[in-house]
Amino acid sequence: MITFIRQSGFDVEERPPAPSPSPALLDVVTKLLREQPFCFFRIAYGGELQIHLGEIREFPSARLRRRERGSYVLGTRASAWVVYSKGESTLLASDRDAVAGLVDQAGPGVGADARLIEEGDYVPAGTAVKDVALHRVHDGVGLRLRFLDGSRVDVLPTDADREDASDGADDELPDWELLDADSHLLSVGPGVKWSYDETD
Amino acid sequence: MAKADIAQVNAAAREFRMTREERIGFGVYLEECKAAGVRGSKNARGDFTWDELLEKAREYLGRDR
Repeated sequence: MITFIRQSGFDVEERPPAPSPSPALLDVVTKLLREQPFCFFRIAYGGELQIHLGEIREFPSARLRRRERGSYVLGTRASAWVVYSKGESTLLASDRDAVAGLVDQAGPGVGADARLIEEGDYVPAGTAVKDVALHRVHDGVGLRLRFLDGSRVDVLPTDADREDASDGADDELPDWELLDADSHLLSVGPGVKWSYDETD
Repeated sequence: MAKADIAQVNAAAREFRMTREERIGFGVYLEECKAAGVRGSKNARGDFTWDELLEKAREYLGRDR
């Protein structure tokens, strides 16, 4: 269970994004995600937030209770995340550290089950991605998705110093990834490295 | 740790040669199992051990072995 902060009455004020650390990566992400409609949020194993966008499709496994998925799936992997809901005037975050130093107005918030984000109307379904921005977060590349209604999602790679060196993870995870409509995978991180695998 | 849990899911997906789409759905499936009360024995959060993950992968893919 991850710490989940939900704070109502939040003023969704945006700071100007810093210059992109990688214009080529920004170009790829923008081409893939701009104008894609929001579908829904899903929490996957390990507390990973998935942002489903595009057209509704079905996962291939009959064992999934909720088989629907977006044609584009943005996975936050082990990165922190913050969702700013314009319509609900609410901030939701993966953990308190994700908010510290980044959002001045954040108060103590209320811890809750992260799966609650799947039930709320924090970003109305069908709301299109207005634009994307990249910025340096610690040693990695953070992603900001802005939606036409004023809501936004920040994906924030965590500081390597925060990771538990004894966590047993021998698999180098990207900081975030994007499965596109053709099942090509964009992987970003750790650090500033990225790849866009256009093979099936 | 979330990072280790997610890395283990990746490793299990590779073991079963899951497609990228299947691997992403597998993470959703595991969380659905936990939410439905089918929890693993790894810790108090109900996370899955490696052997349990392999069993879940078989279940998810509809394979006997």
